[in-house]
Amino acid sequence: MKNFAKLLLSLLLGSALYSCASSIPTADSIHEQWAQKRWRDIHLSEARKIYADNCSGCHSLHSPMEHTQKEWSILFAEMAGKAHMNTRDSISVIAYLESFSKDNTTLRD
Amino acid sequence: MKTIPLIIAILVLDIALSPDSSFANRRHFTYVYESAVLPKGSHELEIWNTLRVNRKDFYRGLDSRAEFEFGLGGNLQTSLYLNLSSEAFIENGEISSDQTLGFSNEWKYKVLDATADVVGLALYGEGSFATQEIELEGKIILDKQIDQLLIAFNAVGEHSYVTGTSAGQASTQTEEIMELDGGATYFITQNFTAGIEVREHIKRPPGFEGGGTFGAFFAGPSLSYAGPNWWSAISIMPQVAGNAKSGSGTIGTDKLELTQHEKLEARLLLAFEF
Repeated sequence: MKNFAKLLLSLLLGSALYSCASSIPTADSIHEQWAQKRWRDIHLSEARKIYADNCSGCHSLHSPMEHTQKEWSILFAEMAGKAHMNTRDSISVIAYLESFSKDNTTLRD
Repeated sequence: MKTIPLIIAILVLDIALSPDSSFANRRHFTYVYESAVLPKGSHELEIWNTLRVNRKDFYRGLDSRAEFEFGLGGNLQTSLYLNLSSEAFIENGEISSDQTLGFSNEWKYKVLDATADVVGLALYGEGSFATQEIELEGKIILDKQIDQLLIAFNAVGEHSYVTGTSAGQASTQTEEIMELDGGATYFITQNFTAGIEVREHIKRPPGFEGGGTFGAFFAGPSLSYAGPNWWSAISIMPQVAGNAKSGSGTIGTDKLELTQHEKLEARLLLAFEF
């Protein structure tokens, strides 16, 4: 019985390591500079945290690469009000999602 | 054969009814908790029903809880519960029954996120108060979602003060519970998950001279479904193995522990965002 619990815990921790930590992207300095040209005073590293804190409470976090910039602006408009987010946090999240969106090829390797 | 049309019906209904699903702090398991907390200002009402069936003789327990949950911001959420517990059992050749009403207050703090961080981590504390019992409970919650697979693990400790009678006088004794819960579930669609839950429940109840430890291991399937403003989860967990020990050694050689635990537990959660 205890072995089963150990197995499950090992599976969870092993999966976490296997998945290389995170399923959503982290911004580097190039992303930050690019985003600040479009959204002044927005930092994508902070935006990523706001996205996780506000959105994962209701549903699994989606990778920004699942949708285009246009799709994100429509989807996020539906969600932001329900998540009771203030304007600055909403802009941060949309900046993060659009920066890593499917059709933002500017920052792709 | 009948299951195939049923699965098809669920999938069709799923696609027809739901855009991107639930607007509540959706749970995908019934016993196992996940690390997510409600965002600031969001509320949810959760109705719990747990059925516990048969010990050595006839036994039926029904635990119902109504939980009002709200997000405080800063990765913190709190809840208030109204608890009603009823049980019926054989005593001196007749069916006896008992009911307990109480309330609980829960606090949950998310330390790490299940998707954004290496592993999701939350700390949980709950206090429950009833006329004959005060209970304190703590949990460490770990979870991780990788693509369509969600895995979660909880370590739970409970310490209760139970008041009964001894030689005609009120007497309070302690009860301790340790629990390890785990689950793995797969997102068949964004709104429908199917998986398994396992639960190791170890109880040290009061009233056993020299101490007694009663352990039971439950395992079974769990399903969850989320609509636009609601979600539901259900599990059916038969006891798979159990053991009982007194201070001097193992009590009996039965495969299951049916003094303090039931043969089967089933739980249904239904929640609404408002």
